[in-house]
Amino acid sequence: MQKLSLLLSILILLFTSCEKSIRQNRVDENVINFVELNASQYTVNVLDSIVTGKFEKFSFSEGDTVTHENWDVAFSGTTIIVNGGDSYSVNQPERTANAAVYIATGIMSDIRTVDLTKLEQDNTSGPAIIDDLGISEQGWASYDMSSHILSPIPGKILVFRTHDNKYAKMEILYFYDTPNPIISDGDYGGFYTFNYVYQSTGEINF
Amino acid sequence: MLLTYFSFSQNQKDTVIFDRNLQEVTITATKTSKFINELPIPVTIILEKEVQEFSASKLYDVITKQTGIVSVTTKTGTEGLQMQGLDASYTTILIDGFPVIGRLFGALDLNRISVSDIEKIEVIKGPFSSLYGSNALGGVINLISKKQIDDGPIINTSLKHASHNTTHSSLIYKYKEGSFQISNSIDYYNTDGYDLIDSDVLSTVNPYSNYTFRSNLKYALSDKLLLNTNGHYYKQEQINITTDSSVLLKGESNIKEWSFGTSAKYLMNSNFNQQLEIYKTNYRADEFLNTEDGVLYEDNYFDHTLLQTEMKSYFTYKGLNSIVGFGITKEELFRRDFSNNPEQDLKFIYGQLDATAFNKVNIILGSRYDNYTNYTPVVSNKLALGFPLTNKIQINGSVGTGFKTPDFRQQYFDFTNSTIGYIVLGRDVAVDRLGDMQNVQEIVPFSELRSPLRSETSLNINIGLRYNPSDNFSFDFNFFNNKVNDLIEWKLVATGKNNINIYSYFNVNQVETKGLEFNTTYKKKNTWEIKFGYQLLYAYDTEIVRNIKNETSYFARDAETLTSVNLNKDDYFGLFNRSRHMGTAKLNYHLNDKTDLNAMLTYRSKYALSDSNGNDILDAYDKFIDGYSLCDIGITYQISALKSCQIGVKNMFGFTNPEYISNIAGRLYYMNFKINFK
Repeated sequence: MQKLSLLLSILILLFTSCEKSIRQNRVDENVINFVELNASQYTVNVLDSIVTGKFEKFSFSEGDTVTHENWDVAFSGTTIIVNGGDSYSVNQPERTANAAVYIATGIMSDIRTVDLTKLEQDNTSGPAIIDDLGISEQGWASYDMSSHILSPIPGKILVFRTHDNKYAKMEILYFYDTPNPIISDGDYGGFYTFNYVYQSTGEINF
Repeated sequence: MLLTYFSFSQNQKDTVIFDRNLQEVTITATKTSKFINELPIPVTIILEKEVQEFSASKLYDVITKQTGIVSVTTKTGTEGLQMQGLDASYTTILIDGFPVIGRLFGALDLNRISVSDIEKIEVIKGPFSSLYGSNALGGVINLISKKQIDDGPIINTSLKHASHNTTHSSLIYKYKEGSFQISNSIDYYNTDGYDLIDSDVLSTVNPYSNYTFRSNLKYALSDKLLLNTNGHYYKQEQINITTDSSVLLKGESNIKEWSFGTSAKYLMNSNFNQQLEIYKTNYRADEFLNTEDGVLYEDNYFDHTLLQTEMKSYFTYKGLNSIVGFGITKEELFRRDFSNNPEQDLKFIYGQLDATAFNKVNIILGSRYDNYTNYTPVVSNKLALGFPLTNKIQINGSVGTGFKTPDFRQQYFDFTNSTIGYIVLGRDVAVDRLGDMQNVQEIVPFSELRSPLRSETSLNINIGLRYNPSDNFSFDFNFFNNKVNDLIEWKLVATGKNNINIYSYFNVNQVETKGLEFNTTYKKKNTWEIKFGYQLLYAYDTEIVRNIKNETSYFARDAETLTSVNLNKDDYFGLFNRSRHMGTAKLNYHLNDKTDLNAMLTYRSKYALSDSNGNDILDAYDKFIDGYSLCDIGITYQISALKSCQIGVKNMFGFTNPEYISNIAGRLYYMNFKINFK
């Protein structure tokens, strides 16, 4: 019987020895949360996956959507374009400035400086941020074939140079008008909710 | 019957540790009979009584009630069993020693295999490629037909009716006279299937019916020459209804399977004998779908043939048993979406030694060499040692290697899915096909596709302890560790015209499964018996573990703040479709001479089928499928010596999970009558 209780206590030890360690993530104090930018006026061509429709323009300095030409970034469906470079499709807003973007890997508070060498602008063949409906997972989002939900890839932070040569970082949190969409219930994508930090001084450090 | 000739050697052994009366014999592990308590590798024997307890019709019903074995639905939609956390494609299933073929995406359908007239099922965990070659990387399951002892005819009949209008009937006829023995059985199964989601037009499982015919003839030409012939035929028909972009499609899905095996055994003397075996088997699946106007929409076929010739020699001398075998195997496959009709030839040779050293220590040492036409030859080894510490405790240890060749699909597949828009190319065809395509954007350098795929290999360690404090009490612990290298998976290689994704197969990573299996039995003779089993499992992709340790970052989205967070080592849950905890509990209660009561509980803790937060790994932030338990209760009543009936309920609490678990049908009632004639 002693042997038995020994064995049992070994078993109990085995099953209780896994305790969670404490997570340590730095919190960024300057984060502004922008809820629901409506970029849902878009259509996707089934044949070539090209997204067309109205672009919703956003300005970091104003902290809101804008209709004038001093915009930084614009959204339409899954497409994200910047106010810099060349247009690659007919119905895009006119690019008037020198904005650029790249996708950094990390959590928001860990992106401390802008890597200027990585900044890219849109060009005639496509946007700086890959837009393939999330299928290749090379852009900001991934697409789940079974639930048909497009979600921002965790750890992808969009780093911008704005139209007036300031800098900003952005994390897209979700793409629907609810954080937990159910496509079969009619939840439709194109509503961006994101966090951003705007460096109004023009410094490259956040 | 043939195998009982070889059990005599056991009686000469002086290492009797346990009470023989309670002993079960295994043959899968050594290809000769061996008492399982002496076997230094983990083995489970499911006896006929246990097969019958809950009126099992198919292997699925029995095997999924065993500790640490679960039938899982994979990403490709096929279902197969998982053992020690390893995939279905790593388990070999044998019927009387001959392999079952017809793997869809690597997995064998356990509902295809009838358990009528099965004397026992042996389950060996850990690789056994050293005896059985490719696929026996995670384990071997061997179904052994019932043998007849007394002369004369035997007729067994059974008729079962269960929920979903399920009927299962079997008729077995056997006859034995001296050296001549014949056994024929026919088994018929019919079900209306079931539907877990009412809101759509589709059923979860469509109606199907199948029958199995098995025949066996044994004849001793003389005292020294024994002949044995096995044949089987199986046919299944199923209605096939599906939709494609809301177009209703109807068709059929049919399977035909047959096998024929014959062996001649020559008993030269009490120490030496030889056996020659020839086995051929074919599996063919056909399916088609028509539109409502009766126009053919899609059809599909899969036709696999295996021919195997094997010569075995057994040598026994003073507690030393050895076996040497060699043979050739030829395989062929015809399948839709294949670039050609692949063939594969194999030559193999193996040997195994089973000996007792220092009057005490049991040693099993085996090795096998497989030489394939299309791959580098593989050598598989196994070493197992059993030390009886006292007459109540035995410690076992085994080390083994296993392998699995790339399957035909991974080499020759040429599949285009036009609805979702992707292409999958087998490794052998990828370079040529990519070369012919236009607008191809290389994601993985194509030069990587030029070298052939390597076989997946594994290394396993089992360390076990068997403790029998008394005749009616037993404990069995087994620690296991499996490392599978060069796992083959499909990966994005390029994008083609219109951004279509093109995938091919690669030897990608290494996975490790480790854990503990624990089984205990307590029985009070003629009153009751209680069994409890538990498996603790950790299954990882070793590269992900290494990356997290090296602080390569993985991220997840926090469900509350919705922001990205860094994952640390403890956040990685492991491989998909693996539960950390699995358990079984069983009670057999012998009410009186005529009535037996059986109750069974199986439990599986939470798991996930896919990543839900975009980082491709399963972590603590992902959505999991909740754990569940299933409870079965059955009563067996012996009406008279030759007649019995059973009633029972499976999944008593009616657990279902329509969204994620399609193979659990909800509560099922059954009733079964058996009449035997002698």
